[in-house]
Amino acid sequence: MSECFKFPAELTIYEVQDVHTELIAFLAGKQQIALDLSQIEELDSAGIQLAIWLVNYCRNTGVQIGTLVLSDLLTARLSLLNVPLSGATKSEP
Amino acid sequence: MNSETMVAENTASNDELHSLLVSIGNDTFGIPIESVKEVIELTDTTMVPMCNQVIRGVINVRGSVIPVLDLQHRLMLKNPQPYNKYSCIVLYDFYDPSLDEIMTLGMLVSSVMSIQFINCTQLEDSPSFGANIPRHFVWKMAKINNQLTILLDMKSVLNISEINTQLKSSQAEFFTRFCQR
Amino acid sequence: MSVDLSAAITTFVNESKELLAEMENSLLDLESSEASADQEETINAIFRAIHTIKGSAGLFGFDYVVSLTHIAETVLDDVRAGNKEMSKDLLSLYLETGDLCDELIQLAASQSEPSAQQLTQLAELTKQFSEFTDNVDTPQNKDADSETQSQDGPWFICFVPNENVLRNGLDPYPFIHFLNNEVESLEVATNCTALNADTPYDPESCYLAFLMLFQTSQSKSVIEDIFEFIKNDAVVEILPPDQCHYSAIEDCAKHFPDPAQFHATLAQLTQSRLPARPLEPASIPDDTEPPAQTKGKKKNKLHTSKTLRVEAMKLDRLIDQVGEMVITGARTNLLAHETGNETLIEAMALLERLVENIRDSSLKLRMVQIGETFNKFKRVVRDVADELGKEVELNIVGADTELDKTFVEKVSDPLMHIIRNAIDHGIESPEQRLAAGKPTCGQLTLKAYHDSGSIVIEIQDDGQGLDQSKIMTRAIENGLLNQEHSLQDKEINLLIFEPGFSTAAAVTSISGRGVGMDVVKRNVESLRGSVEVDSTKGLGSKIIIRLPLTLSIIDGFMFTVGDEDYVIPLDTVVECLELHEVVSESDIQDKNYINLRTEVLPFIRLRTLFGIEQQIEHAKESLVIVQFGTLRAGLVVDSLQGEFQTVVKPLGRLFEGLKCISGATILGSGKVAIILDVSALIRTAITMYESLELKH
Repeated sequence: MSECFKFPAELTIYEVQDVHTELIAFLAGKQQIALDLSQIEELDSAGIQLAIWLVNYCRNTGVQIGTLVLSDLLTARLSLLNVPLSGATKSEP
Repeated sequence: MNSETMVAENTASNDELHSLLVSIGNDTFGIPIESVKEVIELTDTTMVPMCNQVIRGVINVRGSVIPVLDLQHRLMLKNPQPYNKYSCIVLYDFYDPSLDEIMTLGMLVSSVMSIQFINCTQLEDSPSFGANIPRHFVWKMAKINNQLTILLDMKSVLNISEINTQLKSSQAEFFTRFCQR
Repeated sequence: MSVDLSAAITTFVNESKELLAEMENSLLDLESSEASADQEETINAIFRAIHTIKGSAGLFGFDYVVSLTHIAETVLDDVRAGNKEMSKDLLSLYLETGDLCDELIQLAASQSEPSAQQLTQLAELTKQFSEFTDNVDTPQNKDADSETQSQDGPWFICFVPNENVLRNGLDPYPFIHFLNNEVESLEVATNCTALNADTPYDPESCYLAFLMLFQTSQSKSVIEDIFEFIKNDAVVEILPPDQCHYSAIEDCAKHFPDPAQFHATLAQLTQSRLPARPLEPASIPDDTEPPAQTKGKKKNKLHTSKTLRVEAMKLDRLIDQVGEMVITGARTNLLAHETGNETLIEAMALLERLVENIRDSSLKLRMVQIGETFNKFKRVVRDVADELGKEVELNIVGADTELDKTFVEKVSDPLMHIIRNAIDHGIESPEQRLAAGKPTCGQLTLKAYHDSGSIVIEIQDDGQGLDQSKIMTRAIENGLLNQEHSLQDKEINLLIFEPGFSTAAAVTSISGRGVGMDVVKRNVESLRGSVEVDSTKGLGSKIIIRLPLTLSIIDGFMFTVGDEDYVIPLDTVVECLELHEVVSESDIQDKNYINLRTEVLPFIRLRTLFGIEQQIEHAKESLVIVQFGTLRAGLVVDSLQGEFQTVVKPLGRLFEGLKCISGATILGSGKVAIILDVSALIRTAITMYESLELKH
């Protein structure tokens, strides 16, 4: 049964530092998680970046993301930037 | 401002007025204490030229220039008494609506006596006769230590526009006198 | 709107105000200047202003502003391309647009809705602008403009924000979002491999980089302006189709933190849209210089980067602190002298000099050029002249003359009134001027300069001048004069400053309500200044306003009268003499003037004026000769105390309007000294002299 991390409604430069700290703590020792980003109504580049970082991080540390739900706003923005979140950009040097 | 508002302003929570009793000339008067910022001893005041005697002068209070009113002359008391070592300057803050600012003024009194707590029930209206100062300066009377004491209407006493107008006309007199030599 | 944005909105409002003011100036310049080279740059400046406002307004969602600026910009683009002339009608349209834009921005910033009237005005302007675009044939539009890039071919942007961009309060995303609204077929490739790195992740750093392709018919400067607000915190390389060669694109790799990633990211874009890789890589000359972010942004922008925005309150606090420092310095100096310690006294002298330097530098910070205020009047002159059917040309001399910022607002209203008066009553209608043998266009000159410690502002017109008989008549009507009074010309002219005075038969909406000139005089005098008028019938009038350079810290000169010390500005002191050397005791009593060398000098014996009864030895008195502007007088005082730095403290409302007293200062001893108003004293001396002496 995977635990779910629910993102707050605001994910901007003001929140990312704290959310990042919470995420690190949340991810410690877990193998499968669920991510709920559906409540995100306020979002800036720092927030978008955090979401991308999270997916990459999980992939790199072997944490499996079972469920990933995005808010419409986040989806739209990722779409404009052409960043598919589920298969986060994987470019090898 | 009507009397009720003034009572409300001057009253502490238990319906008491806090009044600073001062002697001005030979008489005693009460000044609402809330706006009294400070009482300092009478030091040298700098005279402001061509002003009438209502203005004693100006003083330096921590870097600000504060005007000092001579209350004996402001209240138009007959037989003004000289000041002595007991005389003090009462620094009084009040709100000037035209400037939207708080002004500080100094008032020169012959001596400071005490602080009295006056119950609203002790207040009486000013009599229509006999007061030795102009009536509009009197707010109410109060029986303190068996003596009927005048509580001053500070808004009238410190009517800046009025004093300013008086100063301008007294200055005009100085000029006229000078020109007619 | 979230709280975060409020600071950004305030900045936007302030900067828009500046841009709109510049735009208005540019528009007025266009009206008067003929040189076509100038014109091009001016129009570009206007275009940039509108475009920048549009862009930022778009970021904040200020739709009405965007809508207005969009249509204004579209038409102006035509003008830039040379397809349309900036006619007087069009110019007026832009002036009106500027005004409405200002109002709409204020409303939007305070989250209020425009009034029905404003919306109607907006619709009307939009309609009028559309008529201008409709007249232009669209195909022509595209070809004729040399700046418009060819429509085929992709645009390429390499957008790499700096690591600190987020910490600096900027957000790259909205810029891309806005670009998406402005162009067609936008494709973005985001590089976030830096987020994979082994180094620990700092959520507040920016690790993203973007490559973009799109199509547009807009010009390069329009696209550049989209990134205006972030260009200092990011690399923004824009390659329009004619510069979009493979090698130019390749060259952008250097902007990526890891150039190798550049190609990987590039690969994400639709390859068919990218230019083909040439066989000989070196054959195409590539102008790889960063696409002229500096191009077209000439002197204007350079100038502003040398200035700094400072909150007015901070400056005031600094001046207060400097004032305290001056006072404490004086006090310490006194104490040092009392100790008699030579080394200490020397050190204090050095310190005093340093304090003086700091004082002067800080006061200079408060100085702004009067040109800013003068420029506002260009618009006023134009509108008033138009309304009255007169032709007036405004000349400005000495726009770079500086004055204390506190004066700027206060002097603006009096000047406005004087200017309106000059156009309304001074300058004649074109027909009248022709009949008088003058050119139809009236000349109105605003001149500012410094003169011995004051700033002088002159407003001169070449109109009909003051009609003295009319003034006399009106004065008698108003009961100001008796019929028998005979006055000198100068005195007659001064009558216009009496309350309720106006010789205008018809009260126009502009001036002539008769409340003007006396208010002007009062305003100027409340600033411790003076106003004079010079006039010749038929030739014109000149109003001269004199203001002290600064109110807060001055070099003072102190003397004693009675038991008190008084201070006057050192700048007003011309000379000091022993009284008995210049005039005898008897003469002093009888006369109001002194024969000083060849000059007749009116004087005031301050002791007498202040009503000090006691006698003093004539031999001890001193004469201080003071000057304010062109007027001179003598002040007879008890003794001289010398110079010292004076921090001016206001006396407060209690003493408002009292003549001859202009403030107070705190001496080193802690005592207060009154500062006297020299110009008022001089005027009194002269009035006395003229009224008494002339009767003899």
